[in-house]
Amino acid sequence: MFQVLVNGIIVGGIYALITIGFNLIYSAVRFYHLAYGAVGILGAYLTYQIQKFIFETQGGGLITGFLFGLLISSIVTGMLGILIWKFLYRPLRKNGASNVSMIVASFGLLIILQNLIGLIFGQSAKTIRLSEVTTQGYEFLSASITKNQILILIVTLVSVFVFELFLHRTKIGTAIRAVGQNSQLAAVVGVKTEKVIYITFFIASFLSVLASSLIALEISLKPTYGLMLILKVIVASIIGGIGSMRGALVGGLMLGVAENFGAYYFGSQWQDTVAFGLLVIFLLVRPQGLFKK
Amino acid sequence: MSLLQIKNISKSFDGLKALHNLSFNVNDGEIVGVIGPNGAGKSTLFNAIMNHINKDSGDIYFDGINITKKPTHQIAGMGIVRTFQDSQPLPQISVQENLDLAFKYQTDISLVSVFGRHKFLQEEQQVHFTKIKELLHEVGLGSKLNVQAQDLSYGQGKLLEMLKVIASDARLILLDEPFSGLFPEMIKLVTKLIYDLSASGKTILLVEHNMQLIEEICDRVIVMDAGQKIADGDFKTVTKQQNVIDSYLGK
Amino acid sequence: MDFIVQLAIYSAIASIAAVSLNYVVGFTGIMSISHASFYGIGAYGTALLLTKTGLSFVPALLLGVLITGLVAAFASVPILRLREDSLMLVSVGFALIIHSLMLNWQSLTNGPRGVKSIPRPEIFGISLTDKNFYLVLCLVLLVLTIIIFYKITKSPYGTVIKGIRENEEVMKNYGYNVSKYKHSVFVLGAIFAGLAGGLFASYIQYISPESFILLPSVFMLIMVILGGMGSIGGSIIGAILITVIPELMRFAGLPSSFAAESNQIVYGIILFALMYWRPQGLFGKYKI
Repeated sequence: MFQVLVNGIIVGGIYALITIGFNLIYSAVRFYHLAYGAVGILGAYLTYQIQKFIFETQGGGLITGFLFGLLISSIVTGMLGILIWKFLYRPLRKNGASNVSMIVASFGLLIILQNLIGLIFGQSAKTIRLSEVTTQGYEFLSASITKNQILILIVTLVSVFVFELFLHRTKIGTAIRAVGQNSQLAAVVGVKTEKVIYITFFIASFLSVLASSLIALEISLKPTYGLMLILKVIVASIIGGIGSMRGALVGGLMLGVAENFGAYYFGSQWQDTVAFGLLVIFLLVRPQGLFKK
Repeated sequence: MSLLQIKNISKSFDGLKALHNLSFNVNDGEIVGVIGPNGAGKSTLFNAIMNHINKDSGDIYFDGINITKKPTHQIAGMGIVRTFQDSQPLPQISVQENLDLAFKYQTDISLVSVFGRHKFLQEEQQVHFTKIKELLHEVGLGSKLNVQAQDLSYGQGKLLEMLKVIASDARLILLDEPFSGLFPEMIKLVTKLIYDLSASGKTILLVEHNMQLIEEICDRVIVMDAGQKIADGDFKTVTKQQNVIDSYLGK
Repeated sequence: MDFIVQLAIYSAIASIAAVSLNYVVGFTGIMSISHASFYGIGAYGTALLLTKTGLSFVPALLLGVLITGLVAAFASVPILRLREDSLMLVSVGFALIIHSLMLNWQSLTNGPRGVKSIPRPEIFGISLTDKNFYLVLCLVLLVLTIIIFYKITKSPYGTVIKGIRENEEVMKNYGYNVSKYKHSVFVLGAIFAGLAGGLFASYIQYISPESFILLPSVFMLIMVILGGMGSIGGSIIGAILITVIPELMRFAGLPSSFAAESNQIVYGIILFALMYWRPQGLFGKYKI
């Protein structure tokens, strides 16, 4: 049973990471950027390709390839995030689109990206490996945990920690929080809202690539994951409270754990049902989530 | 027994007391004004009466019946109608449709009505509707029955909202700043409509900032500040009270 | 010619679904993404009744539609408690749960293997296995659907639900039990989606959970948004366009390995473009 908890925390950590990014964007622009999931997955595919390229043709190690790939794809995807805001979302907003319109448009974008990924990379699942031998692991308090999983745990913890520091201790972080609380007031005080939004999209895209690459490491990578991922992110956001970073963390972890327990007790095919059942319950009982903005 | 009895209602939002132990009565046929500085809780009061928001404590009685926890639509069905600040009609439907929806007899339309020959108005209602149509002409909207409400001007929209209030035939009417944003000619029209309503026996509770109009129209005035009632009486007396003057001057 | 008849049948079925979705989303303003689930429940209900019991077509279809209505009545309680964004999300959650049930409740639905050999209708002893007759059946039901929804939207009841779309709070303040109206709109819409699903099942004669995942709900939404919110005729045109476009693209010679993805990319572009240039759709009267 402890094993289930451990697995749940690992997956939950990944969910938390990407949900934090999603909430970051929501708090800055106040609508659901549904295409976010696909952007992350696209980045993970890039990571995969670059790692493959380095490993197969450049004679580099798997780990070096992975890190290098991660670095490049994060930057590229970050730029993509900014472009999406600047050339797709912002004009729509300027045109006076309602929130529902934005969701629909964002969904259209998600479909486009997801299928482009399918066209470019094919439908078969890809995985990222960090060593030739994959499932070496350790025993720990009656649960086994693989090297990969330890890595994921460390990366997640470090990322969240660094992110928290960034958000609360740096000038830019404070500016982001200001825009999130009240963008008009922030503008009056002199915060350059546009610039903040760019940075927000960049950082969020980076987080999503990180999380998606970890997924590729732990599970696999498929074009349809973009949709699945964003749905899980939304569940986690609703649980935690949309717009709240702390909520994203807690929501993501809760979701991961709940899913794994659900799979354990009901069978793995019911995993998603558990997730969406949780969504329905929260929307009925506590729609504002656990944490306020 | 008063038509409307507000008894010790309180409501806090996030620690901020919007309504604080508020009590007053409104009698049948009166026109009562509610005034006070911004943020005094006047709109919250209307929301509380219609149970658009839950009260933390206290009770509200309409015609002797406790309406504190009834669903909004039921309260409206009992004979209370309210307008909102900057009330505008429902935009993407026509003037005619806006009016149809306000007529008091129509609130229980079922799917069955689709297949019957049911029109919005039965016989006695036709009389009522003819009166409204005359009013429509009087206020200059007679030719605009089929115009989409969003194509009306702000002032015309407010006039339509007043006509909808009349069409609802409600006994108690809550008006939230009905004069704001109107030109003098429109103000005269709305004033006349309010007088007509009162003359036909309706009771009116009126929130407004324009002191001249309050003095002119209201029988009685209630002054609110920070969610509390600080005065209750006729305009001249109340505006001479020190606490009222203090609250308006910001203490 | 045979091919065109098939396309016409699909278009007619899609139109029934689109018109009913338009009633819920475009006309009343309830942003529900779970419509395809009701389409699926209708399909499965009818299919299972036709294959597992001895019922003939008409009773099976009616019963299937009834079951859909009941499920919708249940589901409407949680779904309609919410507004706008949250409502969309919870309806998505509902859709995914239903899909999961179709896939995993194997004792009932046969799981991923689906339901096979669904018979074509036999009505009053006349066997309708022929495509052309089936087309007539679909068109008759489509016309019926159009008449019903047209009458509703032109009636006082229609004015009430338009008012609800415009501003629920104001409608409550005029004494309307908004919740009751929304429930009846939701259930009626779902019933006709179920009808379309039942027709689909009997025509195609094999269904599996594959056909009813999230994307079909999105397609239906696209049909309605494209055709125009609140416009019955627009929904039909939207349904025809969305049904026909993939076929056109096949004619254009795109290799089938690209077909599925390219279709969806086109849909994504359509959605985005609509939101930008014409949020009320081609023939619509109301913006989202």
